[in-house]
Amino acid sequence: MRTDGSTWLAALHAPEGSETERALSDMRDFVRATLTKGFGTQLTDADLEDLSQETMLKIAAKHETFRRDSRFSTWVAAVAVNGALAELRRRRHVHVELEAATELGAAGLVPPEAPDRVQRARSAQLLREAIDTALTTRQREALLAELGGLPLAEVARRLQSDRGAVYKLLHDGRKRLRAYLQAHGMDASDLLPSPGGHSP
Amino acid sequence: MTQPNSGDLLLRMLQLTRDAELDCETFLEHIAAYMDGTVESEELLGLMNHHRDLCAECAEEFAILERALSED
Ligand SMILES: [Zn+2]
Repeated sequence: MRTDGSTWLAALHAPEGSETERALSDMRDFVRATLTKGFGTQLTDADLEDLSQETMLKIAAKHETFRRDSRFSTWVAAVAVNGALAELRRRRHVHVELEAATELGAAGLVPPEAPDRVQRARSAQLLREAIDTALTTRQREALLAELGGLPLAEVARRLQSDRGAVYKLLHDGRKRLRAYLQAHGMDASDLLPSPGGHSP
Repeated sequence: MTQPNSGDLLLRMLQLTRDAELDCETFLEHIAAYMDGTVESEELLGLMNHHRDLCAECAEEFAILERALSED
């Protein structure tokens, strides 16, 4: 019978021995199966090998931070998924410069051709004004890069910051934009297209 | 090439913006309990749900975890 999460957690504290080895080997199989099922063909065999190994090292280093508010196996799976997704996002965007992402984000503010084009153009204009006047340079850069599809961790890497700090920067920026729209008698719902896609 | 409409994306994010929000790190710290349905308080659960609605990246991470752990 295969060992379970609580046995793996105990094994991480136990001295070396065949029981410990078996539990950790089962945990490694579980990590690999988790990554295979979660990511499918996005990961090659070599990726699975590397990411399983990295996950095992991370778990050895930080299992003391396990909060015991979930199953240990779920926590292990979360560590594995987190590492693999960060790596895939890094690879996908490795050649994307911050400036290219901000340009894409800014270009996307232009309203598409639509029946309510005039209203959409006004809404895009107000948003652009808000972004230009209510945000700091760093907030503007981070926001446009995010809108241009760059993941937060990748925005952070390019700003020599971390994901948490960039989130706070963007959260503060969103509050400023919301306040700017309110000062102009608008809120976001007024500017979004109606659910049916056509305005009267 | 069609541009993604970042204006609509931003407006949807502004609609969901609150004064108090979880950041990604805090969401990810609790993601295992969120997955198992054992988040320690209703208040935290509300904040977790809100972050998942607002943050496409954490929502993606949760969806992958859910798929990875699904029975079948
Ligand atoms: Zn997030």
